Amino acid sequence: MDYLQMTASCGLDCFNCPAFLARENQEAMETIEEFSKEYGIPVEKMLCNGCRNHKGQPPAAKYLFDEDYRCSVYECCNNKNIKFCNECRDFPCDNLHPYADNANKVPHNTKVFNLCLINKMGLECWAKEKARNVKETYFTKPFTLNPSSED
Amino acid sequence: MDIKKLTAPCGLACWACAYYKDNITNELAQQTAETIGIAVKDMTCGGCKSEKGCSFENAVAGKEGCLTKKCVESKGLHNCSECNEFPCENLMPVVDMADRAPHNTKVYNLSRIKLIGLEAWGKEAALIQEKYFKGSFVYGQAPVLDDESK
Repeated sequence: MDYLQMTASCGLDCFNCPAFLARENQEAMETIEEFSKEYGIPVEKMLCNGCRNHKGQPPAAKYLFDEDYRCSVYECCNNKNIKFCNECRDFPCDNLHPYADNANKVPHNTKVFNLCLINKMGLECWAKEKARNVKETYFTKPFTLNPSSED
Repeated sequence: MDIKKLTAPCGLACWACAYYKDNITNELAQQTAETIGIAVKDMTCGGCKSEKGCSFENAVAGKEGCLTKKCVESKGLHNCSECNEFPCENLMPVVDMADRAPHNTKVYNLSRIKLIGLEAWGKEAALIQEKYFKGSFVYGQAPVLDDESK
């Protein structure tokens, strides 16, 4: 797996995203089918090869918005000639702002945490050892102030 | 206002919290006290670093208390942004309670503190919290508040 190519500039792990995994993974496909119904996006428009492979314009975004639409994070990193936001002197800026809206549907609130982990662990190590755990914890674990006493 | 004293070790802005002593309403205190099972008068909070600590600590963390607070205190730090292990599991974002509690703003806040310092972050912290709770989702961008989109 080319983790650099398959991690978005904002720190999202495309390689763990159901939109990427759905072609080969039934569980991921079921998630995508639910999304497809809920948002009215055809399944084939949800299937994705990763943000960088679509130049910041994943098929679902292209379907929902117009042809000229680009993710502002992707564009910004591209203009600054950096691979990830954590390389930027303004990190973290407004583009990575967390929010409650849609928090249970999409993983935007994991971006800054991932980017800080990439800084700390290095991309390969984060990708292999931690990224899946961050995503699973984010979507499935209860809120607690005692994380190490859970599990 | 003493920003240093009113910023929790995890990077939350206690003075912007609805339960902070200057912000809390009787209605909110009564509703929440009933939900989490503590006395109404104990809902009013002086901040995580105050003598009594966060009003929610016992309800959310149980008798063990908040792990982040204990860890930061044991290391002699002010907040997690100063730690060489930042960010650790204690700051992991989770969907659960995302619409009610501000835990998903911690790492963003702490990273802003690293970038611009505690004082400068203190000036934007209340807006960060407002945007977190009230902003609308926009793909690949910051949340938009209603008055910004008009």
